[in-house]
Amino acid sequence: MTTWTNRYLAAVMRAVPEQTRDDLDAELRSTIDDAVAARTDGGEPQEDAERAVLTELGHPERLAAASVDRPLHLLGPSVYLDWRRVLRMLLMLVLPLAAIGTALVRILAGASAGEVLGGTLATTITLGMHLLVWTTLLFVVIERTGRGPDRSDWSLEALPEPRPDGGGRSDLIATLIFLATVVGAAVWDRFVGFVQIDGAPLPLLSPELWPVWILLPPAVLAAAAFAVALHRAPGWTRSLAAANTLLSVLVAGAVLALLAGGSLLNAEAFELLAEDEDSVRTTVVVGSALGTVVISGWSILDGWRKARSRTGR
Amino acid sequence: MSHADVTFSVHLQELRRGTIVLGCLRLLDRPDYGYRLLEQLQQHGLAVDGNTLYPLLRRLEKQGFLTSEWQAADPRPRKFYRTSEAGEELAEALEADWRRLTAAVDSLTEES
Repeated sequence: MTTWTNRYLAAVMRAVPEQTRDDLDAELRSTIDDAVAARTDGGEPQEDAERAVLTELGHPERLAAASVDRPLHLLGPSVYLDWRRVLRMLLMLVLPLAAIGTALVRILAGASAGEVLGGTLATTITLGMHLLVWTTLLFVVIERTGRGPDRSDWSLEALPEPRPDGGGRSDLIATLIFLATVVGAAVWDRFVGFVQIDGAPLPLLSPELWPVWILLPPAVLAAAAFAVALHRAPGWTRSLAAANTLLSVLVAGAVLALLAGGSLLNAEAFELLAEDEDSVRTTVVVGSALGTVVISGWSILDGWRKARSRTGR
Repeated sequence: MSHADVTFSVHLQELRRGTIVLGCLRLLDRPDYGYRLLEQLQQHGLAVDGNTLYPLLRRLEKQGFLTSEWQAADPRPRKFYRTSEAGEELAEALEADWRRLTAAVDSLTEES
């Protein structure tokens, strides 16, 4: 036995879990020995025989993966479709919003066209990368821990009801990631700052409001709980539509009240960023209010529409 | 190798895959170790690469169709595999299916 076999086996053992190493090492060693012996008995030199046998065994990591039955892919067929759907939904939902938001901030700050374009592009690409990496990581964990859909035993009865109405697993995951993004954005705005003046954060949302943000976790938790309840339920029902209405009205009401009171947005930021402070401020406030009304209104109507189409009337 | 050759051999491989399992389960009626099993399969006309066979043996053991035992031998101990009761049942089922498939394939060529 030369160093070739030791080198090969060391490469195999690096790629298998500790508890199988001794057994696999001993087995492969004896097998390689046997194969080499068969060749040297035929008159082949020891080293040539060993090289030929090891080369035939192929890539050590491939052999290791096959020996311990480990997949040779990042995402398998059981989760691929869900991964693609979640990612597509997130990118289509979050990226345009982020692009518009950052572009708006830069325009308000009086940046040049080039700066607006470059900065927006950079932010959007970075955000897209984050979404891609974390979503993929989440699904890799689902795949490796075997928490994905069971492939071995299933029955027609065990199949989920068809849900064309946004109650599936990927919708749930997308909602939860979206909520996490909202919380992250609020925290980021306050402590790091989307806009920075001399390295210090200039929050776009009013800093006096920060203690009121204590309301954010319960609101996000309520939204998350609702998403989970929707996922568990066989589909949209009247009570879920009613809960969705209540939740939307509460959130929209809070946002509108704060906007009207002038306490949601940071007045200081407007003074520093915009030349024509008042008109910019009015535009942003009216725009935000309109956006809030349209989004919550659509969500409420959508819930009732789906509940109705499901119950068949 | 051209693309057509590759897909050609992939189809052949797929057809053969199950026969290696059946060969192992039948031959390991009597306990044997990896390399000799490889040779025996070859002698029976079921040629298989070591990097396919050795992982397969471990997998079949994990699934309970084979049992294994280390036996002292010269120059080093060898791992002997043997077909379990579940493995025998599997072999019978595979063989019955194989015969059914042979008849089915025969009937295809008869008709055409």
